[in-house]
Amino acid sequence: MDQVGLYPVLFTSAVLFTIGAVGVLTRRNALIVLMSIELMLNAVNLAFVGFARHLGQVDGHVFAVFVMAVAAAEAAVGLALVLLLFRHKATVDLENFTLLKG
Amino acid sequence: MNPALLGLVPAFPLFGAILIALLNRKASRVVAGGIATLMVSMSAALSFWTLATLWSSHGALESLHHRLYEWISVGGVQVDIAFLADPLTAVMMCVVTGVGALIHLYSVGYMDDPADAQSTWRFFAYLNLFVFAMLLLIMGDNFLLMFVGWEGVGLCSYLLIGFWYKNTDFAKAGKKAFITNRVGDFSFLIGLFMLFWALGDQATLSFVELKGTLVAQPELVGGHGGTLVTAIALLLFGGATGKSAQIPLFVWLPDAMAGPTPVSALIHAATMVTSGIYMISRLSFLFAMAPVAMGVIATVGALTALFAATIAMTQTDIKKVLAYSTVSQLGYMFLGVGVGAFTAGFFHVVTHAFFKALLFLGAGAVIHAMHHEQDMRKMGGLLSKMKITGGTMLVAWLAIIGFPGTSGFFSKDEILWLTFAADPAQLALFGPEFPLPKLLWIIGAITAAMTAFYMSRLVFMTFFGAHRGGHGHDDGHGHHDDAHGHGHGHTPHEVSPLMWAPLAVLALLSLGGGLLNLPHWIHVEGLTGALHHFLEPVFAAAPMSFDGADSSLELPLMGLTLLMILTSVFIAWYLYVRNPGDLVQTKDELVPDLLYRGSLHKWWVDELYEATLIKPIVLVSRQVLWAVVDAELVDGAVNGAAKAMRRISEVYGELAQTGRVQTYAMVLAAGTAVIVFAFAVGG
Repeated sequence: MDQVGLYPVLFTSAVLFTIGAVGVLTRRNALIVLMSIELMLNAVNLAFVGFARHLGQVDGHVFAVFVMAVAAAEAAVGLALVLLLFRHKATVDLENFTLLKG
Repeated sequence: MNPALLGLVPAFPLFGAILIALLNRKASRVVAGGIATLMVSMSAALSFWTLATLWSSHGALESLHHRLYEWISVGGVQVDIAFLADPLTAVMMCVVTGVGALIHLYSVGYMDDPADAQSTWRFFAYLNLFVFAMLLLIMGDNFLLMFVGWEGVGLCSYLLIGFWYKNTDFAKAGKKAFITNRVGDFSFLIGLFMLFWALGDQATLSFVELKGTLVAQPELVGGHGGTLVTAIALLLFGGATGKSAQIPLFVWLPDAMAGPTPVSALIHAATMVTSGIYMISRLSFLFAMAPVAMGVIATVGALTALFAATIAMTQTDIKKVLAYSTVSQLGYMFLGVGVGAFTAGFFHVVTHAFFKALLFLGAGAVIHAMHHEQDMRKMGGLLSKMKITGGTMLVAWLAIIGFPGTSGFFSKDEILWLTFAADPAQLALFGPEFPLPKLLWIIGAITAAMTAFYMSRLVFMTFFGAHRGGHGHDDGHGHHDDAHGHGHGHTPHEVSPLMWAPLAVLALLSLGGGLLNLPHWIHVEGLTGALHHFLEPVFAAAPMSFDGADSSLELPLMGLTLLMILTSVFIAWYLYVRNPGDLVQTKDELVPDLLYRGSLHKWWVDELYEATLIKPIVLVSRQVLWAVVDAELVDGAVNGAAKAMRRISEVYGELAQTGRVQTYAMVLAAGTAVIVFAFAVGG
């Protein structure tokens, strides 16, 4: 790990984040969207850890742990929501959920 | 005296106003009036102490100055809440608080109408607030503080003219006063801005600093007689014409008589309306640099004096006569300061405050006794029924017509003589050779004769002859029917001591006020020219010369004026006492009909303004400013923006509002991307 500098880490993080973001914005399956969100969160975690190492401070590590905890909670709530959506319309295709339209 | 006490002088009436306002309806007439009178009396005591301190120092003490705190500090300009009491201020303070205290006391007796019981607290709160504002105006050591007072007295005047606001005409009179004053104030402000701008780096608002700057560097405002200083002086004078009711802005003062009579006495005769003269006296060093402006001031003053006197000659409402008389006397004061006789003009401010306050309060007592009857045609013979009021009114009458020995005689005569003797070069309105001073003297002397006539007419119609009132108010048609009117209705009676005591004090002052400044031909050690010597340091930076005439003419001219005055009194006596048979008839067989009706209808000035100014302004406001600018342009822009947004939403809403969270997230991400990109590129 010592040989890896800051930029490769940030680059990987950016790539992961973009993949996640594109997934959230384009995929129709709610489960895939949830997974993409996890990807984005972990991209951020990677950036946190990378910076923490680079700056020699622990704040970033602490944040990464917090984000994991929040991500776990979010996944639980998210999956519960998906379950409810499925019970409601027997599908998890987001095209079918347009209740926000005024 | 400790200068720190100066701050208390305006503080007392302010405290009184706040206290009465807090008590509001819980304060009865006596309680509210008592607080108000007490506060003004304490201010008066301090004012007299201030005057005594300055007077007894014999010039060693130039002025008292007290700085409360720094108010505004912008760039190089610093404005303080600070009070300056030089001899000019001290005399004015004593007049305002002294006459003010007497009028407050009188008001306690006057405002006893049960219909007003719920609102007398308002009356006294306003009255105290007025005294506070007036003291700010005269005591402020800078333009800004003076302007606060200047506007404050205008506000109080408005509030008190419209005191009986349920009467629409009275409320309108208040508005008229306020708006007319605003016109003048606008001119005053422009003049002030120009002065401030002209001074550039040396800009200051403090009177003392301004005086020093202008005396040292007159070239800043264009030098003596320069265009800039003339414009500034004329614009400031424009403010004075509004506040002090001169041509062309005098129209509000007669209507201001709608207020309770003590208000007319205090605000619209003795104090507020003289603030224009005070302002010019305060800035004498500036005005003296603009001979053309001085010529305009003197001419406007003389013309106003004459014009108002012609109107006063035929009015039948006792307060209207006094109102026009006030306009006329104010014209005299402007004539005085205009020719450069600042002390003489200011002396007339003082004596006029005494006798005009007395006349108004006396008229108020008569109106009170006659149960709100103001028509002189329904009075008459009141002297036997109201001995004290009548007696004091006679004293005031002698003073205002300039009967030898009374205060008005000395002050009016001094103005007239100094007008005659003024150096024509000081009034370069029509060039330095034009004998403007002599012309103004003729106008002044004629006005003095006319004053004697209409004041005699007022006194004779009110106090002499047979009583013509006694109808009561049951005659709904309002036409006088004097031959049958005797015997029923209310009989007039003397007023309570609370009301006649102030009258008596003012009568003494009206009689003896001349002792303040005896003319040089009566030599009494310490009294001859006393006020003149006292005020000399204030006007030292405005040297004026009065050697335009042979001094041996002074006494003959005075004799001539006196002869004219006595003739006028005789004519009035002949018309209104000797031949009272046709008293209530118009005297139109004596003067051409047009002249009589012109005077009676105030020369149609109100109608003229209505047709040439008010109508067009209202028309333009309604048809253009309201219908086009406001309704079309302003409202159109606002409503148009909303409508445009709605149309845009209708078209693009379908596209943007899909209801799918992912669309919204996309927009959010795109927005974020734009911002991040902008930061990245813009650094």
